[in-house]
Amino acid sequence: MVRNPQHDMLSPPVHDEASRQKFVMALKHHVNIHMRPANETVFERRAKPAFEKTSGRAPETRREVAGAMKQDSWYQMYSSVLRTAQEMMWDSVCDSIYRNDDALTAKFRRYADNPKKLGSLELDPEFPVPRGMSEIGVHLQPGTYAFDRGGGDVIAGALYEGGGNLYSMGQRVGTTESKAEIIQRFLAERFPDFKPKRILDIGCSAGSSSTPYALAFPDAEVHAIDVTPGLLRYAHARAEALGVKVHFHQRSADDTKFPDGSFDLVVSHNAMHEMPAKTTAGMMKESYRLLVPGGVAVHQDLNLRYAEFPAFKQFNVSWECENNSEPYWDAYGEADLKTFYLDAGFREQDLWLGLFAQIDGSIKWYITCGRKPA
Amino acid sequence: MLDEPKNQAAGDNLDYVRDLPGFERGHPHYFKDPMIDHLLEIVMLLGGELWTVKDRQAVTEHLLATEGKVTPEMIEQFRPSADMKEKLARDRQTFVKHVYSCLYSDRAKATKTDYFGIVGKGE
Repeated sequence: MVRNPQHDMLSPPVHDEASRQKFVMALKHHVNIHMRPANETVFERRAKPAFEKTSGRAPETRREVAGAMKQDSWYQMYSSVLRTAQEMMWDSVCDSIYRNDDALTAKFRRYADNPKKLGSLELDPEFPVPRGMSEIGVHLQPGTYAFDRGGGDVIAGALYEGGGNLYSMGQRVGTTESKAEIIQRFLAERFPDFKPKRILDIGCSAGSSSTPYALAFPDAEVHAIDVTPGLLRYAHARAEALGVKVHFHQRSADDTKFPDGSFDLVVSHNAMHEMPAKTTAGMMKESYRLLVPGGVAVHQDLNLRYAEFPAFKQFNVSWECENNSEPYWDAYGEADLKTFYLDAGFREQDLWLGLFAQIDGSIKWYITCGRKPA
Repeated sequence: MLDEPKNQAAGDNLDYVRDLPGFERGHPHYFKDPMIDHLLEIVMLLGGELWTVKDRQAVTEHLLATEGKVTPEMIEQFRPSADMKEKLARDRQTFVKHVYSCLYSDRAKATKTDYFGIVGKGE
């Protein structure tokens, strides 16, 4: 199941909305292919010499590179275009989703109240949603992930999936293989006999990575957690609409409340760059605690390993942190994930951290994996 | 965004993000004169609207040629063939390139604006 499966909770755009969406994607693709590479040329030929002239040395950190580049009219234009394109993307998605607001709520109610439903939804009204989710519109998502008018509000999840699908298609992510399928292929290659019976997906958002595990391991019980009600309601309705059994819970990555040894497999997809480093470290400890002996944890995310990147490359990828509301992007880039695994109790010989390519080779993800000793 | 960079690693402290232009609720500005950002935004929005009209016109012409009539409902129901979809995608890319390539193309080298020439094609 590649990204973007069709289901009842999607909000199909009318003709003009679809045209705007396609235009924005073409524009963003154009910026990424033709304009992003020019940043390095501008840096080498203009921003760096300007910095050297005033400082007597070359920029040494991404912050110094940023300081030099932000003075340059090219980079100002590049940032302005890219930021506006991201805002236009959300505008184009919002139109079709808000038009379907009432219908989406009604559909959620129908799925959630169905006595024959496959999975479950557990929300905690007392749950303290992290400030990073409630005060910041990550990726510029309108209203934030925590947007919630109560009742059957699923707008946060609908926006997440709608915007995420467009963004990913623009980046050619998931067009041939979903992130969950990539991890399943990774597991099959590394642990060919591994057949998990209980699986936990941490930071599941709209549930698009949770459902593929239930499909790939039909005998397994799949649980998924995240921190905001609007995402989880949508994820629950989406899974039911797809006819896939998943149990969703409002819980923290570093305090899941499940008993010790609850799972054979603990996974997360693109979640580490959306949580504080302290929470990521806590998630590794929680993963170790939750795994049965011989169980496997796989946490996948973007290839942002700042320790291995020169200053300019760090700066170039860090655009998202400052301009696309990714508050933990740089913290993830700087985090020592191997140490997190070791501190959690995993042994060095049971770890694998490295790049793993989408099946068409178009993108490489950073995959971290640890197996609890049997 | 001519301020000194304030891009500290986040940790748990979110206070710093309030100083970052990307976290503003509104549209941040990157040029010294915010009007340039606004003008760029207008140009991009107009590009999107023009493409939408061009796309709608292409569907309208197709329906008129094949059905002899067109209504708003027919446009909403219309699903292009694989060939037409491909042609529209090609036309869209050509349109974007035609309208926005002056931002990076060496076509602008003939002008006296230095950064166009310096940046080059970016291919």
